[in-house]
Amino acid sequence: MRSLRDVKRSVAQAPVHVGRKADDAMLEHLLRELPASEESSTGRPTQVRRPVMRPMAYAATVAIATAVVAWLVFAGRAPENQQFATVAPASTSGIALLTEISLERAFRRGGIEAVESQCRKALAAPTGKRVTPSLEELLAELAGNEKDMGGKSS
Amino acid sequence: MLEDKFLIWKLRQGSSAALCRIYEKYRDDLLRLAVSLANDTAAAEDIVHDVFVCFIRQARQFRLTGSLKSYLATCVAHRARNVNRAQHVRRVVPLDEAGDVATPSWRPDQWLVCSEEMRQMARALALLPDEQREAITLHLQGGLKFREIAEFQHVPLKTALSRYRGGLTKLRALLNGEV
Repeated sequence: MRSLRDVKRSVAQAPVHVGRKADDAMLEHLLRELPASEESSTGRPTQVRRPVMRPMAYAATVAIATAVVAWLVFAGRAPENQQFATVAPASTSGIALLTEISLERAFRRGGIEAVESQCRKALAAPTGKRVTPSLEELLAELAGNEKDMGGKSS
Repeated sequence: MLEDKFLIWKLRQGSSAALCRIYEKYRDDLLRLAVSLANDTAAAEDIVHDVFVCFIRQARQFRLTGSLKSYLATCVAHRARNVNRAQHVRRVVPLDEAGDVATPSWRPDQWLVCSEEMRQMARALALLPDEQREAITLHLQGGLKFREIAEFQHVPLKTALSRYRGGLTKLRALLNGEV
């Protein structure tokens, strides 16, 4: 006596077998149908769509590649610009080069090498020489001023 | 479901590997269903072959909304219905008098080879009314839901359910030799 469950199982899973040769032949026949279906069957899809899709795909690829390159270029430059913005403009004064702020900025910019380089630059910078005028020059200047004053008064 | 969608997408690109996968995945189920519905081995082979060929040809327009197995099973059921109507293959005869659906001897060029259990099952199913046989085989072999079976048979859901239950009870009685 078969139960209802047995009947269901028998219906659902009754074994069928396929002849190997015939099965291979069937599959070959179906595979032959595959390319035929692309050309004949119902119309456009691939043949018409491809010529339109290809340039669009190329254009999209080129656009994306350009955007990526541009981004890489500008992103690569950005930190440099930022660093330049934070560093004070080069000063010829040794004192200015050796100030705490200046050294700190140099360190941020290029580490200890940049600080060393800045220190070397500061030591090599020309020290401001005070120009002292000679006595004759002072007298000549004074005389000139008096002349000017006399001229104006007379 | 996801695999089937992927396979169909690949098939649209012309992938033979996708076709082989679909074929091997559903071949046995469809053959079993076709034998049960058509009650004839040769007709079942033709039905399944035609279903696969049509599926390949229409793959480009095909949009999978449910199960691929259900879709293919429905195609098989439609074709089996047409074959039955056209050829009047199936005759209602007592179980003892019913002939074999599949010849026991096997030819080298034969695609489908039914087991003894399958032959017995097909003989018993052949004695059921068409609607009940469809309901049983589409649900158990085709994997269709009762809602889908009801749509296929153009009947309310409850009718499809009662056909299934009634048919199953009758099938059990036939197999147990009570009828």
